Amino acid sequence: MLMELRANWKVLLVFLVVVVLLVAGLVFAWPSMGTVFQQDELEGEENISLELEDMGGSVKVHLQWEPVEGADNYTVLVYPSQHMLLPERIEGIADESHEYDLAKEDGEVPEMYFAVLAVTDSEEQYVGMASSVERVTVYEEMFGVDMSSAEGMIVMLWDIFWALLIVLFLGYLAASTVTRDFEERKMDIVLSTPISRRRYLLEKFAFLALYTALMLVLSGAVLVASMEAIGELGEGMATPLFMSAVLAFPVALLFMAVSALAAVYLQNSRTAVGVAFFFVLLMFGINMVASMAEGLEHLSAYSALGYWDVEAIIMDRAYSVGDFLAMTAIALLLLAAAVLVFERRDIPG
Amino acid sequence: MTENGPVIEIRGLTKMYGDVVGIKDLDLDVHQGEIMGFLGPNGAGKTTTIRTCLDLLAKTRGEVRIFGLDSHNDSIEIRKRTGYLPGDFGMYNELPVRTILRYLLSLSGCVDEGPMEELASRFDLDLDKRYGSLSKGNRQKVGIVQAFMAGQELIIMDEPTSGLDPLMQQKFYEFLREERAKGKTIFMSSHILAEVEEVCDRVAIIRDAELQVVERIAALKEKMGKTLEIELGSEIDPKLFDMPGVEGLEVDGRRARMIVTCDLDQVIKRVSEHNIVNMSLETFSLDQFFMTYYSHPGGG
Repeated sequence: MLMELRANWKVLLVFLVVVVLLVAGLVFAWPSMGTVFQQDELEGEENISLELEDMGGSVKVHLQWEPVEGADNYTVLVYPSQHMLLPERIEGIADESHEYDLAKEDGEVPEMYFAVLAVTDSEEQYVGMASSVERVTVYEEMFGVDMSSAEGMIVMLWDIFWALLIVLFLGYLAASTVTRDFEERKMDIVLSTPISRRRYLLEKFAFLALYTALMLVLSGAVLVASMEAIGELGEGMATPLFMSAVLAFPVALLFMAVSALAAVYLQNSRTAVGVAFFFVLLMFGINMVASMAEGLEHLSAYSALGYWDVEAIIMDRAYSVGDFLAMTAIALLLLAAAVLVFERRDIPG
Repeated sequence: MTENGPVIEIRGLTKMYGDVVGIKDLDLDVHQGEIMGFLGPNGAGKTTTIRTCLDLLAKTRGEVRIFGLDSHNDSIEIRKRTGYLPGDFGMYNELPVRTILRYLLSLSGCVDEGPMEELASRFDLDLDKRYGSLSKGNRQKVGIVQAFMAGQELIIMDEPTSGLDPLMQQKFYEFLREERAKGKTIFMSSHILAEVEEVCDRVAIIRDAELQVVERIAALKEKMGKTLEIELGSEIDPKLFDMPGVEGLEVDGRRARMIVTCDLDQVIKRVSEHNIVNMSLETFSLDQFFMTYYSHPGGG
């Protein structure tokens, strides 16, 4: 086991440092980047108040706005979206208020925009705009997370960046550490000692598991420390943030087990790493579709990454013991399969 | 191990790579305290045989018992007592040789580093150099040291002298003879005849995946006979040499050339009735014998 460390310590150390720097660096960059993800205000939204009254199959929208001096009357434009042309025009409103019946769609209040114009001597003057629903950013709509909050940002960074980086590297490591022994002809020497193939593979895997645990614990700690450093560590947030890293462990094991299986079967770095990467990207793809496409959320059940739910961990402080155990069990089964394959295959000479 | 039984016992061993035959129905015994040479051209199946014995390759049929133990089911037990030098091997390029050898020693459950140091100095190997910086010959020395350093009873080697300079080869042969004197059993493949002739007690010759002959070197030389060239005073009647033990007779007028494998005395007595003008006798070398094997399939 120590040989793995002695032979590969540079790569292992460099990657550990890279991960830690990327975790800390992106957290520190958040205060300047976070505003990008904040929702733009609607122009003049402070001039209008909008209240909804539930009528069962529809809602009554109560609009009220600040009076404009010298206005003859008011016009309300109703848009189904913020930028749509050809709005519905309601003209000649005498008061500074209006009621609008809005039919629900599938039991939900549809997203509608109401712009108020003051009419003075046939001249229209913009007063303000309001929306029927609480508005979310494009990012929030895509990822379902409010990224203008520091926690939201962390969730997104895990989902689209840190996780990919870590599992790709670990997958590569788990595949190549075995295939290199084939390719560099070390296997004959090692397996001529009284070391069973099972022990050979399990020791390598145990070493990588330890390394992974170290990396995740360190990432979690750095994440918490960096959030504290930028003053964004909310009360009780330390544990969920730390857990968001640590609970990746069984999923990482699973990816490494797939790599190990590919490695002992294919016995070749290029193809084994290729298969390992394909599997990682496939899982990411499925998880991404599940989190972005409406109505396809159930797909996340088919992605290993769906069982490491960073959003639930950070936002809801939900630590699923079931997911943890299930992923660990699947990882160990895959590892057992790798051992069986390795024990039965010829060592290429 | 069965008392006094062979150290390596191979019966009907067959290894197929898909439809390609690696080795076919091989039977071979290697006894305690002998150096068995395993001779054959490239691709004949030497490496396949060795690697199947060591369970690096799964046999298709047949049986291999080493120390009386099954080569597959008891492979760990066998490997505790067997040293192996692969024909083609690599190690951790980035580490010093001593670190690698210590690691391999620890895998063998051996703590005594004495033999390792001794072997290294005997073969002029610098243990402090990184493995990756070594020349081909020095890497081969690392392979030799690791095969012997844990004091195993049986050493299996695949082309052990490849890459060694002639001086080092001689040192190595001397070392092998010493190891044999200590009761070690050595099974080594080679394609160098002189090597086998010099150091081995017995030789097994393999060609096209099949074992051709297993014989003591001394007996083999005897069996191979001698080349006799004779010139008589008159035309030679080929019937003169029509006797068991005379082969490959070529008669050209008053000259004849033949391979004599029987007692030379009988041949001389028969020709002594004639006037002998000239005569030469040459011992058949293993080299020539080997060539005969390869040029005449099934011959010998």
